[in-house]
Amino acid sequence: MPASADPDAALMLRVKRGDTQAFAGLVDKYKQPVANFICRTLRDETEAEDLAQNVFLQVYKSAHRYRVSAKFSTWLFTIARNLCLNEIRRRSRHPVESLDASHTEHEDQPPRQFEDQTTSSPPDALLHGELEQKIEQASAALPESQRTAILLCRQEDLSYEEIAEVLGCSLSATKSLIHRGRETLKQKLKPYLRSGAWKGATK
Amino acid sequence: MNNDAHYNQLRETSWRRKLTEAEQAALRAHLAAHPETQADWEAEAGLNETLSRLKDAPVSSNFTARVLQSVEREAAARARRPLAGWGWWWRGLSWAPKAATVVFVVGLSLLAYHRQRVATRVELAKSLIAVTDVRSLPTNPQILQDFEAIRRLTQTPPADEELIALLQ
Repeated sequence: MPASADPDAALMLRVKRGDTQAFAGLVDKYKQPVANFICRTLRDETEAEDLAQNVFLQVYKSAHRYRVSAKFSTWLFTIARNLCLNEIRRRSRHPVESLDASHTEHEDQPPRQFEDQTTSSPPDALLHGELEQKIEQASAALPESQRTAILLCRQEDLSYEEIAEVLGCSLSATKSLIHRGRETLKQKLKPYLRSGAWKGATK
Repeated sequence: MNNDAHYNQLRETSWRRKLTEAEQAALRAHLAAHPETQADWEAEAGLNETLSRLKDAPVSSNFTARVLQSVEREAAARARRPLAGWGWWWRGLSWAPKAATVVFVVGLSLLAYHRQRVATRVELAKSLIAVTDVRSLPTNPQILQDFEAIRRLTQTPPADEELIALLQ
């Protein structure tokens, strides 16, 4: 793929030559999508930003190995996914108890809730907040490959072929992962999708 | 079947992005012709919309600055590593030169070991030759009884040059 077809690849070639301004441009463009991806994969807002910074640090350190054979975003999300997988493995070896998990001495108290700052009427806000929580829970329960496939699908500049490259599987397998993941989500969220709760409060 | 394939294609496109006007028109036409797919499409659209409305993860306003600081720290740490120290060159290599270096060192070691073994065998062979020579000596000890006398007989005295001159 020529660098001219992918403006990010052209920036990355400048980063290879030590251009930190070009690197800052790439970080600015992709910090939110990468943070979203990591946050949804790990379900941890605190760690997501730290890990996102590590992703870009890894991008910079690996700049000398970058080849314009694939889109920059494909390479970037491959690094992000690998770091997430490392973190998941690390956590499975050293499980950490969540501060939000209920403890025996506080079982009578409701779980912590965060106020939704969006401007909407209280019932809509509650429903919307509940739907978000439900979809977070439902996607967290998916197998990692299905969850990652669905999250990458939301990156509009990634084609199905590029998503397959990040996942390391075939195009048909990728679409199958997305389809199965979505079917599971639709099943779990059926009451909310039927009620039209997703048409509720604005962002 | 063609219609199903077309509908599936539109469905898969909607997973990644919003449909264009033309695609939406094609979808409406399909739903009008196949009302049994309406419920399926509404579920898909609902999920698409829900996923798109998920809140962004929080990202600090100084995120990029912090990444650049990390990069500068990394570069400074790399520059501080002593060039004469053992291993600095190793860390800078990618996997192929590292593998080649390992193969080279192992090969040299094997060659040195092989040559050492060959040299040892040569020494052993020389020792064997000496032993073989000893073994060729007569085994009867009586032959060696007058060894000293016989040995002196074989020692010829130096020529008497004065006597030779007189005889001439």
